[in-house]
Amino acid sequence: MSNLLQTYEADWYEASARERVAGLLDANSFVEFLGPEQRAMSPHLAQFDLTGAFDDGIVVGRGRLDGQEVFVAAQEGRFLGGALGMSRRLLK
Amino acid sequence: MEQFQVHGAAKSRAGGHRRQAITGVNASGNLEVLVERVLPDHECQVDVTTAVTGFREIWEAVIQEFFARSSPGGLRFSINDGGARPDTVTLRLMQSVQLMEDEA
Repeated sequence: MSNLLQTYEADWYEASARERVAGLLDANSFVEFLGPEQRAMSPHLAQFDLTGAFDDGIVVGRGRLDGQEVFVAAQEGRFLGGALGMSRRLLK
Repeated sequence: MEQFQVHGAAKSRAGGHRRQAITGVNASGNLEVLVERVLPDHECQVDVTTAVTGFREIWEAVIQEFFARSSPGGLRFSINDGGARPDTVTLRLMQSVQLMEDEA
């Protein structure tokens, strides 16, 4: 089973916001703020009968870039066009 | 929108030591799967939130098939679905188990 699934190679177009952050920063240095397991999701989508995303389509945190401490954010363009997390999480 | 849970029994504990992983995106024909190692070793569970109503029986068949093939003991899967087909659901569930088995 494992071998069948291990055909993925890094691809900017195919990568999710989370994969882009992991690929950009130094290996294993990313610490996420308000990760998906917190389920801090927008309360507004359900009012429109829309299903949400556990991270509202944005990944925010800190990590190291070539050894330098940096803050980083990445939007997930495939979730509602990247519109939701911009309005919610970046403003917190 | 429709929400439900599917419970299952697993023969063994899922491999690896990661506490959580996430894969996929909630988009048209796609879904995101958040997986967390929070259950007893011989239980597994999927919480489904799907944009498409009326397909619960198919979801349950796909998920029980996945439980039987992967035996993901101890894992709780949470799905936000944007109308994925059954093959995509199976793929994402299996990817999430593989992520939990990865090192680091």
